[in-house]
Amino acid sequence: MEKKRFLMLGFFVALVGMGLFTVHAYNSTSKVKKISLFDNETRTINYSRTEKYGQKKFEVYLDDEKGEYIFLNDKLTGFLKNVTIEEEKQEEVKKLMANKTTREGLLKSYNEKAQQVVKKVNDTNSTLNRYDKTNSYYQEGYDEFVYTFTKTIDGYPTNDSITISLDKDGNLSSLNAPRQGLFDKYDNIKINKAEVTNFIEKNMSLDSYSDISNYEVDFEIINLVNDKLVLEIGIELTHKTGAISTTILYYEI
Amino acid sequence: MKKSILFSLFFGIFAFIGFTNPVSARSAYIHYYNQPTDNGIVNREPTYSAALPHLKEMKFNVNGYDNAGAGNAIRQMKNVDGPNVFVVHNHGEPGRQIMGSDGSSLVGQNGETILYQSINRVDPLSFRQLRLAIFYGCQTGVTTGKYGDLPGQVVSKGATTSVAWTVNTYVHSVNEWNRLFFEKAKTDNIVESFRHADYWLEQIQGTTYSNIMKQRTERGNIYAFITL
Repeated sequence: MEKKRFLMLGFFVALVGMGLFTVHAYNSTSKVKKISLFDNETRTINYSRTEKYGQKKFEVYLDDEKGEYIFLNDKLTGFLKNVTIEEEKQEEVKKLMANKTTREGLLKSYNEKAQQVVKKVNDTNSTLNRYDKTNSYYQEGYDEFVYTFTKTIDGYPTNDSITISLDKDGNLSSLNAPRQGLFDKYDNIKINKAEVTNFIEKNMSLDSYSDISNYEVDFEIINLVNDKLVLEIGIELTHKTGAISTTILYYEI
Repeated sequence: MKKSILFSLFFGIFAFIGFTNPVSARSAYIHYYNQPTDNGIVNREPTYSAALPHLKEMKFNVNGYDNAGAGNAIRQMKNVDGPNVFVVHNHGEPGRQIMGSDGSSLVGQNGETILYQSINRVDPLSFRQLRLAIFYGCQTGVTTGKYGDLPGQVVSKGATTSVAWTVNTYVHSVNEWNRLFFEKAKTDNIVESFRHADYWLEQIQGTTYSNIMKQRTERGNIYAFITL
């Protein structure tokens, strides 16, 4: 009798387990999206995993070629093509790109294509919606043409950028746009440059940095840190020993 | 009887593989400096702790050092049973990786005092067991200064690959980029892992920090795997 009870209990537990597994499997496989990021092509992508960084949860989907599509709060924030970078293949590309005229010609000719991707991702389809091109270069090592478009406020770059990279044939290799529109509501703010300078001087006084012989501003960007709008200021510190290090100041706007 | 012979045979084969497989002999040396300053501690420890689980998955024995000197580092790098992966995170200068709070450093050439270890003076092939050396510090990858080409010198002494930075680096970005790099290096080669780390750092911290980490001097074979 006791044995029968145990058998029944075991059967019941197994049944519940199977049920839970089926539900989990259904949920996993049911997360499918259609995406039309590429010219004349719609791809089906499947949920793969969630990457958690601080408060942010990035959902990663994969296409048939293991390309990663990243979603934050259900909005596409990125794409990274799965590529194999092999020495033999790269030698040919290196030879081609060693020619400065070829390299710079391709960088220029793909500019329009990069802008098209920005318009598509940004849901405007016609304008760059205030994303100004701030940088374009050829990334050696993994051979990509990189284009960065950034929103600025009162002349300062924000941490809202869209970066596009294209391979040597002009195919989309990656897209990075994780903070679209994050600073739009602060569009009309003005930053008092004299106050910023005073803030830096006060914070970098020798009382705070006794072993520093010199400092210089490395970069300034508008950012949100702990839900506060700040000017994030990267500072290069030169130590009395000749060593160089860095620190970051946050000027609350 | 037959069963026990078969069992002994299989056990013997597994034991043989276990003892001879080079996987078990992998080791990594990660140096960081948790620096006390007038404004608090500069926390570089995650360069070690966040990479640790990934390196362990790759079967590396990982030794972490806080504020050790350059002498200790160079002794281990020259040892034939020394580290296959070598990582330092501290201050820098063109061609110079500072190690400890005593100012001891690794430099490509022209080390002025006993505290400076000039890599160009090391015997040829001394670093042949080293698959990857990473120098996280401001401008360590600038090759035109008096201390020369630090990552280039390391490769010239037998290391497979070496990387250093040509611009100023920021502690929180280095810690995150390093973790992302080793996360990918479990399955992909060095340059593919660079690409993964560059990309994901931009998702997490933004374009400014990702662009900083992309400014590298890469020497040797960037297509190698650190696990081979």
